[in-house]
Amino acid sequence: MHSISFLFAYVNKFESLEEFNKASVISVSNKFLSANKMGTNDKYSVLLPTYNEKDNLPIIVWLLIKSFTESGYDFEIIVIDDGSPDGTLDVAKQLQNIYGDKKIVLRPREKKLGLGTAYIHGMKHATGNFVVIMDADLSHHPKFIQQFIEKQKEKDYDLVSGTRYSGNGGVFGWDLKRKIISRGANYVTQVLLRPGASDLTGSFRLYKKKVLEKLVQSCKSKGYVFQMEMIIRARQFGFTIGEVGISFVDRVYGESKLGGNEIYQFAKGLLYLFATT
Amino acid sequence: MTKLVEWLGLAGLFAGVWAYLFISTPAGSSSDFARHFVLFLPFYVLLAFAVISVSIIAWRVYTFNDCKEAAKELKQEIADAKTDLRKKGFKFD
Repeated sequence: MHSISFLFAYVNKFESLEEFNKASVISVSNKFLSANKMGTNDKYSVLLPTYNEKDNLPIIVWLLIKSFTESGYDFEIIVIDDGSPDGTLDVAKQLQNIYGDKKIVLRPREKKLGLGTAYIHGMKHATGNFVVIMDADLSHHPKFIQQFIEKQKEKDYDLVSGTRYSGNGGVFGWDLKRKIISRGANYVTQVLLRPGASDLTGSFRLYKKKVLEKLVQSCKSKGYVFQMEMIIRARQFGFTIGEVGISFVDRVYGESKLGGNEIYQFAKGLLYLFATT
Repeated sequence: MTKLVEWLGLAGLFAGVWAYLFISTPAGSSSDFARHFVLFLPFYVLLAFAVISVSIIAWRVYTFNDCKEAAKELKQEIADAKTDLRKKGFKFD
């Protein structure tokens, strides 16, 4: 037996019998592990609210399908289009024809109605027990979802937040001014609210479906502040939060500068949370 | 207890300690410095906090991870996605 293994290892150019044995063990256990992944009952519903994303939607869907196929987790993509005038919904229908209506679910709405209600609307017919929320403009990369999932399983976290500010997190496409505003605002938020999470305005997260349902009902704010309030309420309810560093690729920053109005809304929201939580 | 109430409470506590310190430093030329110091203590504390805060923010801006490879990867993936989708019958306009 030993001599046959040795011959096999030699023929296959392994440096030593140990290396060959190690490699065999790894390949066998990988097969066992992926069989387990397929065997779990977890399903991940990805909520994609869209408004005028006809160019980015095919790419983000392709990347999602690629990354979920590679990781082996069960998923569906729910596109919530708010009556985009650029034909985003038609693009979504094309993708549905290609990938099937089990993988691409369409839940369109008549007009722009806000993020919180988009999540509620999207979750109504979601068949997953986990929900991933993310932006459809390619600033969030689907490859991180596998890391979110694995992080969630580590301690059965109620939600996992993608952070740009700690760990391996980072940003591409921001000038110095934008970075200063971002870090400054985050610092003020940390001092005033002590939220226990490094990135409050981020919108790339994994939630247990029941947790997201409860949080969305209890949050009243809009825009940036909505995402902040979700984390704060999560802490209030005693939900556990895990973090994964993500890379945020901003291709839109040049066109949509961070205006005075947005800063004002943020400050207002921050004070509201400071005074009420 | 909201964060606002927490901060008001802490502010009240500091105000109390400060008032006590101020009252307990005797008036008179020999302890003028002590009195002045106590009088301006809140200002010094705020100044120190401001300096520390600015330093922290500056450090975090300086060490903000710049994801150049992520942007490059994305560019390539967009091209790959378009090729693959065309093959599958997707019509780009």
